[in-house]
Amino acid sequence: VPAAAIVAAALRGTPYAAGAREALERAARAPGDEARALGAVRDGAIEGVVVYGTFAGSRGAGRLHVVAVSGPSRRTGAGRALVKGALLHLSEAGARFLLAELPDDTGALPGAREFLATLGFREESRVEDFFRDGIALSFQRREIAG
Amino acid sequence: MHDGEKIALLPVGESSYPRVSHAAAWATAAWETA
Repeated sequence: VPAAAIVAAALRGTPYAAGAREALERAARAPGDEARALGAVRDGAIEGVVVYGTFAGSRGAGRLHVVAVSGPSRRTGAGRALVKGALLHLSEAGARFLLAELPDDTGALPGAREFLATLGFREESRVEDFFRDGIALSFQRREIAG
Repeated sequence: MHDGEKIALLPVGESSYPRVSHAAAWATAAWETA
């Protein structure tokens, strides 16, 4: 299953699909500091994808664009492996932290906060009613040991 | 539950990783046909 299809399926019916697709498309067509993508492959099939990079113009501010795992492969470690791979690469590139701009939307993104929490992310700040009434933008930050 | 050791992480759409160039090309092809 192509990486794009995994992202599309994970976010289908949510307001966040377009942004994630754009990030993946940019990472796939022109990988660079701001966006690159890793696929998690098991038994020859892509099970998930992470898009990450650094904030444009920043020094060492890592950005987690999106993590998506195909339905049958969820809770099998693929997502964790993807984020850890991104953290390793960002650490080697000198990043100090990784920031995820998470829609705090448990209806559309069930388990997202918990997933990030298990990987050491903590809420740095939040903007209430950012995406729409009742749906905040949550800045989730994970330190990268220097 | 966690069998992460069986998971390979490969760059999507990037061909500058010699050891995974074939897989990367495959991933690129998958993207192109998405």
